[in-house]
Amino acid sequence: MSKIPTLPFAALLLLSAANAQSMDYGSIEQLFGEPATTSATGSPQRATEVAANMTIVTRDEIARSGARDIPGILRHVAGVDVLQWANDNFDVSARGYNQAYSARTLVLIDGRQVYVDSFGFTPWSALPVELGAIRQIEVVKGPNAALFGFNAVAGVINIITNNPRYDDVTTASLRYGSQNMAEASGAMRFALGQDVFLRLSAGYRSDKSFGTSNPLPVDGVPRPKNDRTSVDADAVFRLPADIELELEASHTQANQNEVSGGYKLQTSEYGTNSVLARLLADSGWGLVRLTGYSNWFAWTRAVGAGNVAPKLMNQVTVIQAEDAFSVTPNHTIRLAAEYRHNEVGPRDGSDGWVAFDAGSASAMWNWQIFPDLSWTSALRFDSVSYDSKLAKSSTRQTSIAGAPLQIDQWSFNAGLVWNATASDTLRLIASRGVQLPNLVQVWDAAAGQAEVSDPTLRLRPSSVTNVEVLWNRHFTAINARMQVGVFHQETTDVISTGSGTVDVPGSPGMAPANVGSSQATGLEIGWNGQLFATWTWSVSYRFELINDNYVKGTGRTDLVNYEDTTPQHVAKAGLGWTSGPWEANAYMHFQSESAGLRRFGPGRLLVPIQPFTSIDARLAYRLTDQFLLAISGQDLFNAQQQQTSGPNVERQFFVTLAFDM
Amino acid sequence: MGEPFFFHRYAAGTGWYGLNVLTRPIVRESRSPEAGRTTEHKETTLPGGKPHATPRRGLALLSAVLVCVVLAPPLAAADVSPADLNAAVRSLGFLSSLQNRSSIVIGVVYNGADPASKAQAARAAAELVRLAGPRSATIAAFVVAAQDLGSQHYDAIYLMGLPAETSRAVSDFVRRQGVVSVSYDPACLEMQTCVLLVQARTSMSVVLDTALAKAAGAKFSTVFTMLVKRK
Repeated sequence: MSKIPTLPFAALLLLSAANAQSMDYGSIEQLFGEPATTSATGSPQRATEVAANMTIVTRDEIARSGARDIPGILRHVAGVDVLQWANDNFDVSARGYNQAYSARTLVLIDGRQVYVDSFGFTPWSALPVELGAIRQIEVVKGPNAALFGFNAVAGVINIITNNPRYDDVTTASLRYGSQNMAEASGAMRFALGQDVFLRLSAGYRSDKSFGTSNPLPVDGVPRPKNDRTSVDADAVFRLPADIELELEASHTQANQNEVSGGYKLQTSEYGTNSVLARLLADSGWGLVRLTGYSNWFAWTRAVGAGNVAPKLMNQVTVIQAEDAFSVTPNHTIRLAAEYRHNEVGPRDGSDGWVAFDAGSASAMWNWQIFPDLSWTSALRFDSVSYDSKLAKSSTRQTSIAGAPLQIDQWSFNAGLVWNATASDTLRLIASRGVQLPNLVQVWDAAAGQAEVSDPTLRLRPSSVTNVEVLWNRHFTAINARMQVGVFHQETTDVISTGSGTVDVPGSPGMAPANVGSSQATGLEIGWNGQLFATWTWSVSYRFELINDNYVKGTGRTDLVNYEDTTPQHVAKAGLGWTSGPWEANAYMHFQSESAGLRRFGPGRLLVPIQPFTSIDARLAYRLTDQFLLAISGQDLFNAQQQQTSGPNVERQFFVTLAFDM
Repeated sequence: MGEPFFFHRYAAGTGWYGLNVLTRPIVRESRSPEAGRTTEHKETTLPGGKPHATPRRGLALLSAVLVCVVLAPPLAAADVSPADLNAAVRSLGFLSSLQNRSSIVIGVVYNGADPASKAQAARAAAELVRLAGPRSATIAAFVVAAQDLGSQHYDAIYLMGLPAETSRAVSDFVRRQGVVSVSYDPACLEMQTCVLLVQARTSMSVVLDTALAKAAGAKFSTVFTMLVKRK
């Protein structure tokens, strides 16, 4: 019998790699005059050519936004919805469908998931990234699960940080402002010789909660102040044969008052840790990337009058392998495989746990049919197996195994891009994404089934199917760009509890269940441009109609509402001006009447939210080439304003002294 | 090598939009690193420089511009622009052989039968040496007639608009010398003389002739090849 010699995969890469080069975003942006991305297909693309509805927020736009956090930046992006529940507490979604603990938007930092699967949400203040370390924020609207996996159903927000190898950026900032806000943040890049590049970033912020009255029930005793500490280290090594190895580790601790997925005001303490290793090779087989990372998420809530603080731990480990290559000049293919283990437990001090193991395979094909016409399609298959152990309870003397759950789902993205003229591009996009029930929902569903001795878990994932048409036009004479889009989305198998839980999950009829569907149809128009090299401007408008179709008797239908909570009309505008050392920016946000959910006993009530307009602004003066002084304000013309069903949002001011080199 | 031009250390602060400083004729003393002789020439503003306008004047013009904007035709491919040259140099940054180089030598190839082409090449060479190369490498530029291409050594050549009768000589030179050729003129793809077409007009257009690149032994990063159109 012949014996085929084998080599470890990494060794093969060492042999075949010729010129490893990760994405040098800066050089690409300088060459093409526009940002580049891998978020649409997994292979490098220019932003205007991607077969997806994508917006890229650049480093300059981040600096000029005047925002002190990522949701504050995203609030100015067309088509993005931001709910501010409290100082430092936000939920972000695209095209409406926003709620407390918004589950439909997948958030990543350099491709690493920071979305937390336990309750299916993103704790924004606990993200281990400083604004000064960010190169660009990529916002993809619509399902993008075929590339990034489940939960990317409303969209993906991929935060790209400066690459220590290419981006020689060092920044620092000090902020002080209203609500006793004080912040220090910095990111420093070092080159150790020719082959080792390091970026260290860290930040600390404290402030106090809004002083506005709270209409929601309160769990525990509200904290007198919020605080956040974050540290991140990212190292890139150029290995022999020009392979690139990246190692990253991060830690954050964020303590804050927030609104829970169950619409209570609660006190939360988040602790996160992560480690990541990534190997990149520009080999004879294409762009090969091997990634492994683990995230640890510890969450303590102060609950009840006694301020009891049960802790919930969530660990996810992900191993990914992908290869993007061209078989001919007109055909680019990306193949990827992924394994993921995700586990939550113990919950609320008991000895139970819930976990899933997921195996995934995906393929992307980009076909340049004609010079002006391209087709991109991506397909992904996820196989997810849930297991759980249910702790003993008042009705159960011993721990028992929860009912298993197996989910096998396909996702796809497809897009036709036609550069009709030198100035016009038409895109036809269709996609389907899957939102898994989060781990706590599966746990609660298993607990509910256990109480009725039913071994079958009937919880299904929500799926979102989206079709849209986009028209982009570049008006060269006035240096302006326009995008007009229409979309239609259908969400099936909406899960009754959204991202939250019900009070008595083990009780009959209280388990999370699939309760129906929801349809959305919308129009998005956006313009932006530059005038005379000193002015920048942007205007956007979205009209959206949502129709929820829930079936009575299938489960609780009062816990999640998209139809009434999504405003039909949203308009945003921005104006920027630069003259010598002066910079000024102003942003307007308007949304029409909507509603918000508010907890009332075991149920939920819809409360009206009146139309509102908010204005954010920033005025900056560059003291030297390296130092800049800025004053920024959010919601300038309202001392307080109702924007959600939670506490009103307060006006904020802060002064920033920034160092940049 | 062809006629020597000058070798100029890139000056900080005249980067991407550095051409804006060339709004008035300036006299620059230039020196050949090989011949050591100095030549004097006048530089003029190249096409593509941005006009400066005050907000008040601009507002008055805006309404007229808006009327015309929908009917505005795409810019025609004309002479080489500073943006074309800048993009060409940026493209070279993705070439494996030029990684970690502190200086790059570029031959600017013109039609020897056309004096206007020679003058245009001289202006392009003058602009090229002002640009920062990949990773701040310095650029030396030399003008050379297509008809005079022989055994010169360049890291890359930049092709001005060339007639079809020169295509054989240029193509042979690229293959024989293993040099990357870049041009702003779309005709170079048909003539198979350019490895890269780099044209910065309404939008950036970069086309890679994969066959010619292979023949010249040029290897670009895979990231770059996926970003550009390939022929």
